Amino acid sequence: MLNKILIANRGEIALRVIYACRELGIRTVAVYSEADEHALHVRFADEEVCIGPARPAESYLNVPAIITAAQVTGAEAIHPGYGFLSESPYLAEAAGACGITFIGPPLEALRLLGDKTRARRAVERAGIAVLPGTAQPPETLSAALKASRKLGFPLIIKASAGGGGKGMRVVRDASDIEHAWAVAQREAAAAFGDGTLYLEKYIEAPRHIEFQVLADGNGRVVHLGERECSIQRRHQKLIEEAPSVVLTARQRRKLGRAVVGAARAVGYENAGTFEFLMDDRGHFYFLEANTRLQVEHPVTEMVTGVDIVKEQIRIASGEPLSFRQDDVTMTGHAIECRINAESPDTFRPSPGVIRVFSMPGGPGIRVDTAAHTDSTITPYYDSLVAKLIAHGSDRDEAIARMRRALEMTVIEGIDTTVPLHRRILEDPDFVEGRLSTAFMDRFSSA
Amino acid sequence: MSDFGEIERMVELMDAHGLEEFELEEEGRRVRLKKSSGGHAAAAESGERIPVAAATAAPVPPPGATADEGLVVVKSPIVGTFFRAPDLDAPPFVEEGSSVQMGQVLCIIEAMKLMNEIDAEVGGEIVGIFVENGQPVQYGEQLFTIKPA
Repeated sequence: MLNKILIANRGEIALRVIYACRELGIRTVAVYSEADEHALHVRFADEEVCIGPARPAESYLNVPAIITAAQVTGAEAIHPGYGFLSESPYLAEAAGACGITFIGPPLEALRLLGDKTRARRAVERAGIAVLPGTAQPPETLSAALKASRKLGFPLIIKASAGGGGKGMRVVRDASDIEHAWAVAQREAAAAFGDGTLYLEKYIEAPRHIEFQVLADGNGRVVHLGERECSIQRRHQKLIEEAPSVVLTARQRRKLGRAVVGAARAVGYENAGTFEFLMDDRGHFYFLEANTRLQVEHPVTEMVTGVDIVKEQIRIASGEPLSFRQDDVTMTGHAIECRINAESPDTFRPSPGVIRVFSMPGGPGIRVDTAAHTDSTITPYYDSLVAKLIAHGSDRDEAIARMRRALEMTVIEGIDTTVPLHRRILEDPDFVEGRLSTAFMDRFSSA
Repeated sequence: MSDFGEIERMVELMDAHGLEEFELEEEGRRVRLKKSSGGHAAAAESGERIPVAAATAAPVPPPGATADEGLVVVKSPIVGTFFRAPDLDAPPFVEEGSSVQMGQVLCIIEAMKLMNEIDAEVGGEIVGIFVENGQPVQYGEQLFTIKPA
């Protein structure tokens, strides 16, 4: 087992990794920017290294500083969390060159699945349906126009290096494509340093359903079932749950087998997620693969009882997975609400000092957060304040627990999405499980 | 307080920054150091929390800030390992009391096998060296103080 792990992240996910390390008896190194000097991940790590100023590019995205911090503290491995450098081939490669274990997939799998057009081709070869689209990214606008006539409208422009909704534009007819192409290209170039775009058929109001996989270094691959993340706004997930109300046991087995096969085909190791869109006829199409731990991993942990972060560390230590596919069971239902520091109506970020912070507890409630009374939500990083997770024996009980937990959440000093979550949890379509990625349109227009 | 090393460090800090008085209060203990007219530091300590007027507490300059009496603090611009000399056998770039020119190399910080030379931003006299040779330093850590010429 690894002895010392550096956590190249901040906030609740840095704490989440510290929880796992503490339970496994592994020492931890926190890295932090000047803006996070008083953050809890710094306080609860065994060692800490300031790696730069507040600006992410100079601290949490600073590969040389992070590698050096691992070297001077003698950390044997780096856990990248999610966001920041979690899907960075550069960090994985630099770590490897310095004899430090990157807690994630092998470099080649990271590169392949990080390139959205290559990933599409790879999973298609493994027998998974992908949306009709351009197999090779069109290099020019005129090539894109030609491809769009073949695909038909509506379609979506996506960034090949992308994720998180950046460089993404829905195009409803040919006259819009020129403008959308230019904007998406600028956005993609700014966000990822790569303006390569591709086109895909756009499905109206699909469900977003994703499968969690774990793969060890000995070729054993299992899936931990699905999460439904259809409640999104601007391609950012707001509420996730496991299992999905629409998936039958048969579909779960079939899709699960397919993602396990795809993971094997690309030589995957460690934790990863295969995302799908489901259309209104129940057809599944591969969307993308995420080569890291995900924000919403707790809902899977709650229903399967598997500690995904500990499994990541065990796998990175070279240990085999301790269970087989048949050992994985889903018990009850779990829902996660992402509580962001945002106006619940305009979604505008609301940084500031949290004056009062009191989170609920009781049966079936889990709170993953790095916030506390008198802590500061800075404008430099993402707006996630806390993840509130409710587990129940069924979906109704999970909803009831989430409702009372939201009512008893007290966060003062900043605006949060708690009031919005309370409205969603009362919505008849949500309660009935009639979900789609267009669900939030009814709230966004307000 | 049992840790005399800690008091000693505070006295050094006071000397380094030319402070007359230093006060630290935390979790049920309070340490107050005051220089007597002879220039020696005298310690007073209490186990109880005593309310103190803010004005009596001399602020300790944060790392990187320009210290009192016009001292310039040289802080580490990167994470790495601090070296006072270009190689094992060579003499240190600077010692306490050395006079340095602007742009003169003060130390090396090694990061990812790259030797980064850290230059003096001002000319003057080295009055404080805060890191031992071969020790890791973090971003913003205080390395030297220079009394500008």
